[in-house]
Order: sequence, then structure tokens, then C-alpha cells
Amino acid sequence: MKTLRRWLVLACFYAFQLGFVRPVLKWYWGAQYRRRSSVPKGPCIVVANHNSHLDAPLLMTMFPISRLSQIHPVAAADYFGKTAWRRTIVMVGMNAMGIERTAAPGKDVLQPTIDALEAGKTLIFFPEGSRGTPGVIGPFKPGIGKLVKSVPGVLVLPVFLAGAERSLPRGESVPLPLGIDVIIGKPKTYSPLLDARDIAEMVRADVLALAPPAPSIPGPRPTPPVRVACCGIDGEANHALFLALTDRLGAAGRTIGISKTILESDGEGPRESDGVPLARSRVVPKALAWAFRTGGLFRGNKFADMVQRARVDEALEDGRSARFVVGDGSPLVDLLAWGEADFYSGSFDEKGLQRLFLYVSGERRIPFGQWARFIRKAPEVWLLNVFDLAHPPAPDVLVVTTRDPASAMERIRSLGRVREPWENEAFLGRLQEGYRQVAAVLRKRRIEVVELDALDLDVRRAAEEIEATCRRLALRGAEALQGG
Amino acid sequence: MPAVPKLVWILAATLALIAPLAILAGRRGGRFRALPGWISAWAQFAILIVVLSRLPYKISFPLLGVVMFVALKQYFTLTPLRPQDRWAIVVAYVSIPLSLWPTWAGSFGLLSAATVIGLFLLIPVLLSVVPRQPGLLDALGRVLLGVLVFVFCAAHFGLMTRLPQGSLELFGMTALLADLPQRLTGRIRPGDERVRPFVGLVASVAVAAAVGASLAPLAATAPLHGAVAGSLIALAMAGGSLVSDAVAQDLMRTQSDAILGRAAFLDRTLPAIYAAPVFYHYLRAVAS
Repeated sequence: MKTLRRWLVLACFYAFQLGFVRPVLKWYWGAQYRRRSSVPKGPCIVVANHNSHLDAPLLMTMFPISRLSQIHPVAAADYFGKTAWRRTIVMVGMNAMGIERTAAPGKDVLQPTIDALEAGKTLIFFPEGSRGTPGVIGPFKPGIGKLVKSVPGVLVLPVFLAGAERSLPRGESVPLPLGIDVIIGKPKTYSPLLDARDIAEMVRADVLALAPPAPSIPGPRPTPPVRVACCGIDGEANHALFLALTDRLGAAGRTIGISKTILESDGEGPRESDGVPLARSRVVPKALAWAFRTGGLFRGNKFADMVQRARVDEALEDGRSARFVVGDGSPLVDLLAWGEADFYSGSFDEKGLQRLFLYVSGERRIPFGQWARFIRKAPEVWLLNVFDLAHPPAPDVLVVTTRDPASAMERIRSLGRVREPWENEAFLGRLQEGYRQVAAVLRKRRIEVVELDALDLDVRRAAEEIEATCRRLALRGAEALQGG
Repeated sequence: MPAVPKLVWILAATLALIAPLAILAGRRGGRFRALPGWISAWAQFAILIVVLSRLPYKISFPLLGVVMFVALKQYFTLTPLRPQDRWAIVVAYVSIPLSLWPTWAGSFGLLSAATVIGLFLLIPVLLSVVPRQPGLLDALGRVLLGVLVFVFCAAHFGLMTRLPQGSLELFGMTALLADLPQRLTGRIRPGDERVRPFVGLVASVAVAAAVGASLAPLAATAPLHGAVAGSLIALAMAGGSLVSDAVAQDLMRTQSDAILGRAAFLDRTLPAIYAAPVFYHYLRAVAS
């Protein structure tokens, strides 16, 4: 009798999934899945943001039909067990596993999920706990961390759901047919030695990293952020200035600092950011850099880093995420200065540099006739332009730190690290000259340029002055927007 | 087995000829990068045109309704509204069967009444009854543009089935070949001072006029009217392209990856849909 009941439940489950859930998601919502091949073949925990009742069905549809019976969305028993109708739909139709949100004394609410994972099943988990405000991704509860710690080595698959919060948000009963994107990340394991809260934070960062840029909804549009770039041949001075500016500007408005890591600052000092979207992977730029043999500061991985940074900078353009963006270097300025110093050493007049500016920023396409020349001499520029890898934005304020190349070399030698092939006095001199010429070109584009001597640099004072310029520009931007 | 009409053969042969070239050109990148996607969209559009033109209304009209639904869904996915504007979106979807009914009856007057009175007047009311929040005019523009293009203009494909047999294929052929030169040279954009896009537009008008004139007799239309209709299609498509570019820019959707592959939708569909009412009304009012 028990077996018959189990078969009956399974038949109902498959009938509901194949006869209703999958066709409706496909034809009514037109759900699109990105990187579906990343879904692991074995057991895992699928973790996603949660804003809609559509989320669990969408995540179940990621899996092949043959695995459906092994997939269990984890559902709040107190909510879904309230009525017989909800219970039937969720527990039978969705194969959900009910857990209590508040634990009885001496009982571990996560035990059934741990047992299921150990039995080789896959769980769908929404660590936010409930659907929350549409479009807002709340903090992840430490339950996911505890689960990961309890089953060491378990794969966690981050997924970002975009669009479901508009189709059927909390409190709405009419499901609107609007496109939904399911963006699947790479499965990962987390060390069970970490604290549960830290694991939850890391998982949240992995889910957020998949988020596409926010859609532009009607209403007043925020002003684009004011961008400051600290460039020049003295990396240390640039970095010190970058940190000071990120800190100071944070007090005036949310500031994102783009260096090797992404920092954010809002008056309480810079800290590493977990909410800035990095939508695309590095695989393509890395492969292209390798295939076309990019060089110098943009060799291999470094080229992919540069592309990644430019994309982050681009994604911040809509002004929703930050009022100020500070860069430790600038992909656009660095590439132009390198172009002047290395690829096209001495061959560019000002007009040529202006043209290179248009190519790097993506405002103009490199003519087909010049491809061979660019591939040979500056594959970095060609790749960026022709493959649309990124459109690095120009800064509003360019800070160029200058230093005598001989003393810069002395400083590099004193660090005792292995020197890059291009770290020599002659090249640094040419690079410095390149930065100067780029600064002259940018001045003509009404970009504010500040030149500072690195040897004589008072970081605090310089940051104060640049901050005043940035505040002025931010105010002017807001006024221009209000004026139409 | 019924004989396949000449125009259907010509349309299929043209697509078969352009498709491999477009795919090869797409590999060159740059402005040719979008050509494979473009030709694939045109292949689907050609199938819709042939179905509408040749199959019974009971099959073709529901299919047109489904296509309009999918197009409107893509549009609303690209242009999100405020959360409180949900009912306006529902009405926009409901307007699809409401506009197909007068189209089925072959009455442009009824279609106008249903669209103008039923939608263009009702939707502002629906957007205004919700609690006040900034962005009413912006939201209104978004909904009305969607309804105008993907309901009102798209319904003209249904009306075209009432024109002499072959008119739909004539439209498809002319629009496809009018679109090609503009795709190859890059399309006109405000502030772009290059000569090439203008050359593309002139070539587009010339090609469309020539194709329209030469194929018009197969659709029971005089060559002169075919040429004029072709030119009008080319110009309307250039206008549609300007609109789709401006909409994309306004939505800050210029990055190809920003909208997860839905970006090309407006660019590929809007120009041809924009040209449909121009062609229909010219043939109906002047040529017939």
C-alpha cells in the first residue's frame, strides 16, 4: 500500500512538472537559461535569490527530467503546510522538503536536509528565508553556512534569477508574462572550517556576482558617477592616493574603488565590496589575449584583469550603485599611454592619439583595412574594439603622478622582486611622456587633469583638493540633469 | 499537391542565397557581426509571412496572435515599468485578441477604434489611477510605444491578408532587400556624419523600388505602385531603425551583453513592423 502511494505521488509529481510547470515556464514566460552546462551531474545545493513563487519551479527546470525526483526545494513547513491545497502543490507537485523555520528545543531543523544531501539528493535552497521586497537581495541567513559545514565537500551552485520578481512578486496574484533569465554560476565548495556566517556571505557574493545590470525603470534617472583615475609610473603613490580618495569621497556619497579588488566606501572607511556585479567571465578575454599574444602590462591574465575592471566601471555608469568611482589606474588611460610609449612609440601625433582614444573607448570601429597593423602592433586595442570586450569609460578627473624615471627604477630595485622586462629607465621615461601626452589629449576633451610629483606628494592634501573638484563636478552633473 | 506560388519560391531562394553570405560576413566581426542573427530572424519572419498569406485564417491568425504576444513580452522585458503599472501591461496583452478580431473581419475602421479608444485612451487612465509616483509620462511612453508597434502595427500583417494574393510576400521580399544595404553600410544615427549610412539608405530605397516594381505584377499590382510602395518601405524601415536605436540608448542597453541576448530583438523586428502600416495603407488607398 505504501509503495503504491509512493508511486502515485511520483506519478502526480511528474505529471505536474511535465504537463504544467515546464510548458508554462517555457511558453508563457519564455525562461532563458544561461550556462546550463555548469549544473553538476551529482548532488549539490542550488542557491539563488528569492523574490517570487516562480523561483523554485524555475530552478527545478534547470535539471534534466531523469533527475527530477532527486531534486527537492527546501520550503518553510509553517507557510506551505498551512492549507491542504498549498501542501499538495508544494510537497507533491514540487517534491519539496518542508523544514520548520523555528527550531524546537534540542532539535536541528536542518537535519532532514543533511540526510537528503548525504543520500545523494540535490536541494534548492533560498538562504534569504522568504521572498522579501522585489528586486532587493536581502542578507543570507547562516543556515546555508551550517548546511555546508555539516556536509563537507558538498557542491554549491550559485544561481541568479532575473525577471521573476517582476512577473510574480510577493503580494501579487496576476502572473505577468515577462521574460525571465536564470543565470547559472560555477559550482563551488567552501571550507567547512570557516564560520557559517562567513560562508553565507561568500555564497551571497557568488550569487550577486552573476547579477546583470539593473533594468532602467521609469522615473528620475540618477546622474552618472564622477570618475577619478590615479595613473602614472609610480604605482605606490597611485595606490596611496587611490585609497585616500576612496575614503574621503565615501563621506560625500557611495564610492566604489576599482583596484585589484573592488572596494566600497560610504563614510566608514573603504572595505571590500560584495555587491558590485561582475557579469561576464574572464575565459574569453584570457583566451584571446593568449591567442593574439598581448604584451607588457596587458599580457595574458593581466589583459583579462583589465577587461574585467573596465566592465565593472562600465556597469557603474547608470549611477545607481555609486556617486563616485575611483580607479587605481584607468584601463583607457593606461592603454593609451602604453600605446604611445610602446606599440606606436613616437608614431602618434595628437590627432592619432585622439583616434586611438575613440577606438579604445569603443566610440569608433577600427577600419577593416587597419586590422593587420593593429593585430601586429597593438592586439590589445584591436581585441577590445573588434570583439566588444569592454568600452572603458574616460575619467572625469585624471590624476597623473610623475616621478623621475631613475628614482622610480631605484625604488623598484629596492623592492627586491623580479623585475618585469619593461621595467627599465628608458621605457619608464617613455611611459611617463605617454601619460603626459594622453593628459594633454584628455584636457582638450574637457577632462580635469591634476599633475602631482610623487616624490613631493602630500597624500592627504592632494586628496582634499581632488575631492573638492569631484564634489564640484558631481554638483554640476546633478544640475545639468535637472535642467534637462 | 497545390503548386507553390512563384513569390514564395523567390522569397525562399533569396533567403537561401543571402543566408550563407550573411553567416560568412558575420565572421568578419565589426558591423557585420549581427548579420547571422539578422538573417535567422528574417527566415522566421518569412515563414510567418507565408503562413499568413497561404494558410486558412483559423491557423494563421492564432499564429499571428502568438507572435504578437511573444514580441510584446520581449518588449516589456526590455522596457520595465513601475511595479504599480501591472494592470496597464495586462491590458496591453489583452489588446492582442481585441485587435485581431477586427483584423479577422478585415476592418481597419474597427481596428482603429479598438486601438485608439480601447487602448490609447484606457492605458493612460490605468496608469493614472495608481498611487502617485514619479515617472508617469515615461511609463506611459513605454506602454504606448509597445502597443503601437507590437499590437497596432503588427495587426496590419493580418489586414494585409485581405490585399490581393501575394502582397504579403511582396512586402517580405521588399523589406528584406531594403534592409540589407542598411545593414551592410551601418544605419543612420543622429550625429553620425559619415557618408556611408546615407549611401546605404539611398541604395536601400533604390533596391526596394526596383524589387517592388519587378515583383508587383506577381501580386496583382502595377509596377509603378510596387516601386513607390518599395521606396516607402525602405524609408519607413530607416525610421523604425532610428526609433529602435533611440529606445535602446534610452534604456542604456547599448552594451551587447547587458540584456542577456534579448538586445537584438528590437533592432531586428521593429523596422519591418514599422513599415507594415505604410505598405498596407498605400496599397489599399492608392494602388487599389
